[in-house]
Amino acid sequence: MKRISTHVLSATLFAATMLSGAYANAADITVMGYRGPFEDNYKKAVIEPFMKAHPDIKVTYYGVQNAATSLGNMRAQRDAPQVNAVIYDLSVAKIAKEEGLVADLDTSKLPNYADVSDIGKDLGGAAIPLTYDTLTLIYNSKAFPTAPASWETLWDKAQAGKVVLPAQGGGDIQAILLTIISNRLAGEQDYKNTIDPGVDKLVELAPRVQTWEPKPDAYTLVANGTATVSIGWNARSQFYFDQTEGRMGSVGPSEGTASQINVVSAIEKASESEATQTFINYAIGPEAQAAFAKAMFYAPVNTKTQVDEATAKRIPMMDPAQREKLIPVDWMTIGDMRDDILQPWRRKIIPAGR
Amino acid sequence: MAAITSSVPIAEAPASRRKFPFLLIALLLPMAIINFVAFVLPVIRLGMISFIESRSGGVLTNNYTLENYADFFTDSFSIELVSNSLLLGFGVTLITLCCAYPIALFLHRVSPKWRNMLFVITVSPLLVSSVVRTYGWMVILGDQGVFNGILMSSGIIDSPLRLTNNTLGVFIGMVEVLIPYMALSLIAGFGRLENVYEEAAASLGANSWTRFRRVILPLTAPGIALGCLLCFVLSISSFITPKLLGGGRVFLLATEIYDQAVIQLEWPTAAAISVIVLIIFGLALAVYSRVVKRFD
Repeated sequence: MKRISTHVLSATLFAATMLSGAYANAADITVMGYRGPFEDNYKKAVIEPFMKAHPDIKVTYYGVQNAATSLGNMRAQRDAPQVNAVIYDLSVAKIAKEEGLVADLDTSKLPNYADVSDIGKDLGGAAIPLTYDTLTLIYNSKAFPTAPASWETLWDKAQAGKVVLPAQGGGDIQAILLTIISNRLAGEQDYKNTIDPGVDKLVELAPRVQTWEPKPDAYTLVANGTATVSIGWNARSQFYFDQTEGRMGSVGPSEGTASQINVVSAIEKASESEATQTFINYAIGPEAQAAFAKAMFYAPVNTKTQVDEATAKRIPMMDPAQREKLIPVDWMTIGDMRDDILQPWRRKIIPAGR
Repeated sequence: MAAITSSVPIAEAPASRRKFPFLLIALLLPMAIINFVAFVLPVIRLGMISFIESRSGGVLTNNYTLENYADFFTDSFSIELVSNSLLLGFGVTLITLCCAYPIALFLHRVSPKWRNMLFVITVSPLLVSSVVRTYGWMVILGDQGVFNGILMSSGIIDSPLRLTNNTLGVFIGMVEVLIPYMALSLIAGFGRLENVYEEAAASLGANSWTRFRRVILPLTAPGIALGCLLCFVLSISSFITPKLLGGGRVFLLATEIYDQAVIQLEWPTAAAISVIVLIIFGLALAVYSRVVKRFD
């Protein structure tokens, strides 16, 4: 009896030691990022498999409306961060880096970083590319039995009053990219020289625009027939294509398109830096990249990612022809040009449609 | 009567009443602390942010500047924002007053048996979120909406009227949202209006227009002033309805604050505009005080 008691006591002590060890190593981290379908799919495709592979790290996803909201939270929590990592776009990451809100990670400690494509690596360890996306033309399948092939469809007089353009509050990065694309359609190849031809072309389009602030979003209005054509992000377009059973389609136009880059940053002064780095390394790894590409049609940033053919076909960045036509956008200089590009939207383009 | 009242000796306040200030302070202190922490401190912080210098792209620096205010007052677009907001504020307030005044007057005069039920019906829109009501207007006024559908199916028009995604849509939505607030304020300010005054005026030969102009209107002026102040402030600061029904074409101070903070990432500009809106509210409050004093 005494022997059994000793065994039980030993086993209890061993279990207690192991458990306390496990708790000592356990880490809770919070990742802030886009909410909605992005959040739902990111949890399923990346976070849950990560936690299975790393049972000692618990990841909580905190969904926010957009990258600007993330920046606002980071500013408000500058001295006592409540999140460990943030997923947002590169242009906002540049601001966060300049304000000292994000940590500059040593990329040599992230084994998967070496396999990440060069696009969007401008900020080094402060903002690591996570996903690529492209601007696409979205259309109502009933109104366009044959998919439109050109950005010029937006200027088609037959679509007057049925065009919606998301330019909330005078525009965000979609408006910036559309300005650059319009500039090229108007003959000016380099937006750094001038954007005037593009602005004039958009002024011509303005009276045919139904709304500059589609609610709930452009995808829904195009899918339900309130509008026939608009612009959107490829990933969300593909997601809505499935959700609406094909009532809304999307296409990468023949003139080429421009990319948008989502990045992930570790928050400066946040705790659990090792667990955060482990998560970031996993997030840019081929397994997580493939799973999220399949779930949401974002182009993977990791060059070793294997994506099935059906998924790859729906991601313009994975089509060599589209990738070759990719319109170069330097998001580092866009930050400085942001005001110059967006001011005409508020003062010339949108007022021309009143 | 006044002489008799004033000749009554005032008894000395009991000991418990002399402690009144301490009780008063104890009762007021929790609310004062909440108000200080939740309103005064954030407003001070807002004022400080409005002086922060920002670099291109919205990057905040550690320097302070007056540039955010100077830029605002020297930019024609900002002046357009102020004039758009003031016009919307005055216009919506006037239309809301015209719509709500007869309702409030009717409620004031109706038999007490019906008054409560009609009062509940008048303010019942407040039970539904203004976001939901505004979405309702989008369904009614949209190109494929109920209103255009009726006009087109009856052959009155060939193509849909543009009733949303513009200033007209914002006006319609705002007036509907604010009518219950105006009606409530008017009813609260109708306390001095009694039938005997109107009967006295009628007995002296005043026709209905003269009775309205010389008796009803002056007696209900405090209610009108209160309702106008409330609606003006609410319409200047309204954000959801212009965002949903304006189609991105209606630029106002409130929408600009959101856009500068959330889209353009220019927090100092957004804070400076917020301070300017606060000053406009202060001016509106000063006008209200003068109007009320005049009619008291």
